[in-house]
Amino acid sequence: MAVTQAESRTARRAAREKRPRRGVGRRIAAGAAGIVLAAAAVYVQQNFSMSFEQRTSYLTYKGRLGETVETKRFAVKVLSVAAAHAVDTTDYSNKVTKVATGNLFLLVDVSATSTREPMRLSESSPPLLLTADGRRYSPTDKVNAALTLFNKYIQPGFWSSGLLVFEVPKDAVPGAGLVFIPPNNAFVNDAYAPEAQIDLGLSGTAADRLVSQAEDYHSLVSVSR
Amino acid sequence: MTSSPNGARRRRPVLVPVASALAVVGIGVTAAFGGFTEAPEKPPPTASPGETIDQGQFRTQFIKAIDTTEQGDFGTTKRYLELVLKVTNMGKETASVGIVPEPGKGFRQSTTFASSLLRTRPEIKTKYGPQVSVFSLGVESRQLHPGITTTVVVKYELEPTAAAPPEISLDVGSFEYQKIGLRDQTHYWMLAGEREDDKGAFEPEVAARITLPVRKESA
Repeated sequence: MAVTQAESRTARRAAREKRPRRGVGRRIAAGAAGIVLAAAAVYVQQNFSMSFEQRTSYLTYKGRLGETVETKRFAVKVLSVAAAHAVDTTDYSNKVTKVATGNLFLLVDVSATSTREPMRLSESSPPLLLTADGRRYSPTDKVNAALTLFNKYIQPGFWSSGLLVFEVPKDAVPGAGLVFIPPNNAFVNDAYAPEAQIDLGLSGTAADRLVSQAEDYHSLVSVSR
Repeated sequence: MTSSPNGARRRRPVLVPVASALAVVGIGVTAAFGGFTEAPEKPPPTASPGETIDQGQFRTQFIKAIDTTEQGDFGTTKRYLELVLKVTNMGKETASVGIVPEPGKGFRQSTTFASSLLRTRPEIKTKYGPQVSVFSLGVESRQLHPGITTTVVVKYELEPTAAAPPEISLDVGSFEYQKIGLRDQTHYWMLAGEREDDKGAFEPEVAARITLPVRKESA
């Protein structure tokens, strides 16, 4: 028994040695292919992987001015965009004062409804104005939030509308879009929450027209909302 | 025995004497420049009023320091020492103007503009610290929007009888775009500086030092 086993082992070894060795060329080619594959893997990992910001950003639904963008948690629609050099604000006693800017106030009229839960926009994670070159503007604090969409409850079953007012330089207008970000918990951030990115249709001539025809004064209080 | 096997003449041993000579010279030079003790830190660059300081996220001009009075409520007058700055946000996001760090309370690695106004000399004592706000066309705000240059006013309330210093000197920090940690790798502009042994007190880096004469101005 032991003998036969030893015999068979030597026979196997002999057979292995007898097998023709692979040519040098093939070995080099195989080595090169291995290196190329490894290099490609490293390259892909370094160049095509998402940045941390991309990996942890919200799920973005895209849409355009006038379109209803529906997500699982809310639906939002930008009704119109206007520009002005001066708007209103109110103080605690509801006294109205005029607020002017050397830049531009963009007034985005937004309508939104919630799918399940009532919500209210949060000032710590507000909707943003995203420019074509990636600058992000928060809504201006020069206008009292009581006059804007921040003051409205967005609830299931009906649409709440309100303005979002951004102060931007004129060069931010072409290609700008609104990123509608629902309120998020400050402590436990839900990275899979949906957001809506809405193109405001301000390409080329439309942007020029909006800037050149900006109203001198757009009152926010006369319009009863 | 020691001669080389092929009988060639032995080379003169140059390497060892040259190396030792170099070592001696090196030690001499090191000693001449003060040895291995830590070199004294270079004083931060000084800026003059009106000069633009690059703070990374912001471009800042210190315009003036004024000693002024304002009408308060109920007919009172309040006296302020005001620093007037022109600030441009060079970043891609709206920044908050924030609050000035309280003297003697250490520093936080903050993301707000006013946290870069590290300290004043002389230290100006106020009850609640200075108010910092953005002004343009008489409208007050707390935001610095990208690509917009605005006036930032830092107001120290003074006692009506207190003497304002003849000049005020400020240490100004700068901001670095970096991730806040290993777990949360989101990038923010944060006050540049170092922590002792990576966990001690945060010590911000002084990017510029500026001295402004204090002028008296009637409101």
